[in-house]
Amino acid sequence: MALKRINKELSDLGRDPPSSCSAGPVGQDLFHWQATIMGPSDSPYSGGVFFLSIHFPTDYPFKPPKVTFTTRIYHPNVNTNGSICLDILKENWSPALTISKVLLSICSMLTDPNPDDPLVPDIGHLYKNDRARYDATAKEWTKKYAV
Amino acid sequence: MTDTDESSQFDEESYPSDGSLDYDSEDQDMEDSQFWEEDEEMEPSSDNFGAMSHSEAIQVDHTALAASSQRVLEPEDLLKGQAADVARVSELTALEPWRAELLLWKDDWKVDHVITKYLEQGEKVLREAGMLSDDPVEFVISKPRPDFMCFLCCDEDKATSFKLACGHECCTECYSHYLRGKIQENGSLDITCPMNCKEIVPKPAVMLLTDKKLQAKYQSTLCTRYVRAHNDMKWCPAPDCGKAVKANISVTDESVIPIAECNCHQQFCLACNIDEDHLPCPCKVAARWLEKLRDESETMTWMSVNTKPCPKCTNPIEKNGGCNHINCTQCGNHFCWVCLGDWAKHGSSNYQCNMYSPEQAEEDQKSVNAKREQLDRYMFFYTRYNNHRDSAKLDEKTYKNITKTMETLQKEGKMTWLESRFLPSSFEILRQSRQTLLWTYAFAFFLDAQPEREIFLKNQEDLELHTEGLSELFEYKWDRIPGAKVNFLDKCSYLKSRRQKLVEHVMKGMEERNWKFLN
Repeated sequence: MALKRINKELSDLGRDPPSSCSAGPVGQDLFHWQATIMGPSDSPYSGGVFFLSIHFPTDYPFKPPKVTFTTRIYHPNVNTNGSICLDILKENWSPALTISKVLLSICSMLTDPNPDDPLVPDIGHLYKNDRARYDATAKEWTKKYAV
Repeated sequence: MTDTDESSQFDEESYPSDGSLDYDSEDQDMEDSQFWEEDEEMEPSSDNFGAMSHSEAIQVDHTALAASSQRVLEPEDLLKGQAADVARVSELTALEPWRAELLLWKDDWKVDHVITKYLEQGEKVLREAGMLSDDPVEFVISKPRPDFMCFLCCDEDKATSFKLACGHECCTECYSHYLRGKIQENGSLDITCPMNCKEIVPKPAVMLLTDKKLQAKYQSTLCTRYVRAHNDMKWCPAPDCGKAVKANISVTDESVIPIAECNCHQQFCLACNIDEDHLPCPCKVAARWLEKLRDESETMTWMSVNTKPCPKCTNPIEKNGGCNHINCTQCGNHFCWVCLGDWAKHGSSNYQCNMYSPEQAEEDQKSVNAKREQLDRYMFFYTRYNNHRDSAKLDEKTYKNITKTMETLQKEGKMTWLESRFLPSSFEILRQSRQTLLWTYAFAFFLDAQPEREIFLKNQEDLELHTEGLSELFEYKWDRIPGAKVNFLDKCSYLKSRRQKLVEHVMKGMEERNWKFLN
């Protein structure tokens, strides 16, 4: 059941790729994908290319896919393991969502972090209280890890 | 997919799958719409009092609530209650029952409020409750449209599909799978269309697309939320009991302590979260007492009176000998118990321990005395409260022996089983008196000096004296029991009335707001 749906998403992505994102299977295994996101130009991640790994559960789309950053990124909602704290990947997942929509949500999360529900409290704190320093560190990390 | 096995406990509610939601079949439920208010005319249910109904037995007031003021609700009763409310709203708003039900969920089962709101605001209320269209809806599994592709599994070759008024059609397998996940996560009438379009999947649709086991889980989630939505209902806290109790009186009235008793004999308060009979303590006082018990500050008071902190590592130290040279076993510090100074100095020329400062000494003593007094007072009440708790635990052993005694009496031809039925009833009186007594100490602890307090203390004394008297009777060997039967019955009827008096006295004070409590 999941396979047909994943194939459909893959062909949709090929037909109508979202701007600044791409995704596709790593090898023969359709349940394991790799995705890339270009750092949005209006964010400190601009110029960086971020890699993500996507694992589909066997009962996809009833359960959300597991999406993690493989490129290091300085962001209040992403920790050093690359885990992402995003509601639609957890309790607000809906089977009507697709990988394309998820990647777009992650893009907008890069532009607008959610510092009130941070996965890394220190970064959340800095984002709220010293934006300049946050921007500088995020830029530095982007340069170091994502260019 | 739909399993209409008649053995399902929720079957009364199963919906016809032809979409013509016909609630007429539930006429009986509708007649029952005020079913729990009718209790006063009903006889107390026999299982509540069955054990005591024999003429030889002593009547026991199990609860503070008269049998007419509470009702134990089985899961079926909860379903009937929901169906009755739904039918009422449906009748007065001319909405289909499933719509009425969604409105009720949206507004916490406030029936009158729901009706007024709908009559005033109309469609807007429906939209807010997750019904995006007013068109008549049929909840049916149908053949998919010609160019169908299920948006979940992306399969085009499916025999059946389902959709709500929103028109988001997916195959029945996916719909069921989706609902299964939601129901297992305790979803109920907040499950939206899988397309995430805010249209709520109503009960008839869920019933159509799930198996019996899931339906039961779904119904039980509904019941849980239904009980939670009513502040006069509470689940019985006993493990695996699964029944709820509804009060037929206001539970928000502070001068009432609505202690309920479930059919499983678990007692609990409907107004607060104390799961036992806390009469005569009003909920707030009982909660203060329990907080006091939990509060570490009492231990701290004891420590501040009896120990001193090591000046180096601050570990509390209790002096265990006459010598003032203290060697802290935690950090190895040597210091003087009297002045807390370094012990090394006490052997040398700058020994100052004997330099008396009268002001300092007086202050120290005052604070120690005040703390000790507070502690003593607390300990006084706590010991007595706890003693009754302990005694109650020990009484459980007595209770086990009662059956044995009754058997022996029967075997020896001294008393028939029925004649000895007064023993378990007397024990119930004893248990109840202890339960009340232990809470009288919590009440007394917070009671400020006032003339009525003397009456309360007198009542307490009397109840305690005779409780102990009855407790002693239970220590008799079996051959003395027949001769003591009159004593048992006397003590019991006395205790019963004394307990009643004590509780009434407190409640009267609560009603008149006479009691003054310490802060």
